[in-house]
Amino acid sequence: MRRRAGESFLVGDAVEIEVLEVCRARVKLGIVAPDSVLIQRKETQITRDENITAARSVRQQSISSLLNKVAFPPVGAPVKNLTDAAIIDNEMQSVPRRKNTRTVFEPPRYESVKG
Amino acid sequence: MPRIQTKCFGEVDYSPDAVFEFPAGVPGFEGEHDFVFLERPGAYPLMFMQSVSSPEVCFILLPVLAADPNYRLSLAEEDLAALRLPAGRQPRIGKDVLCAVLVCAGGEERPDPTANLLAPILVNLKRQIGIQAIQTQSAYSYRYPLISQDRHVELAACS
Repeated sequence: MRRRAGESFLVGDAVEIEVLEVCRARVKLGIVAPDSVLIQRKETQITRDENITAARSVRQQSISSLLNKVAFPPVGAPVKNLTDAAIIDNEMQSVPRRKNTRTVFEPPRYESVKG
Repeated sequence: MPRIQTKCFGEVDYSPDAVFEFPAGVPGFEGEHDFVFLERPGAYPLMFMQSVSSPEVCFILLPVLAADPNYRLSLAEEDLAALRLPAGRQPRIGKDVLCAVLVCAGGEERPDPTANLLAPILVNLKRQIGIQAIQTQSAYSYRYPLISQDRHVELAACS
């Protein structure tokens, strides 16, 4: 099927897709569909499935196994990202590393630990 | 100080200032808007993104540069707007935004751990706002293997 801007086509009886605009590398589509039809980018669907699998995989055992299996950069290696950010470097470094789980990215005045 | 029940680490006290808002949630968890980021001794550089309202909703996060030191963002304008960042230029990882990827730790469903490099979690630390940005102009994998084939070979060679 070939369509020009301004032309449309039907998917079943209830879904109409119109080509609104054609640029060089992208097309803009208008979609008319019933409320019950979910319209989303395919990448969103893929990410949803990945997220659900990821959330399901979070267990203490899988975390230990992950840490054993994967050669992450050692502590102190320049992972200039999460623990980089001015906020952490400037404000958190003076706080002694606590032994238990703690939240990060928060003002250092809080003692936010309970194991 | 409020306290949350976490999925893996029991109860944790947190400061309201440590809560980050995800106005749209993340795909699959659209109703989860508030998260805290947790770290554990011995789990570096992993972090945990725990929902404040649902104990069972927790993700393992890896700083994107730990997965790929040369990682480049290609955020859409609407993602920049959602993060309340200036339009027209990509934010600097670790400076303007925190950028980390969600990890599938491996289990029965998928034995080897992977990370979603296509759709990183981005947080504007100053505004305490986060999104999961699904990058369409990007060739990164949504199942980036954390154990590379090379490493398998290395391990085999050492043993």
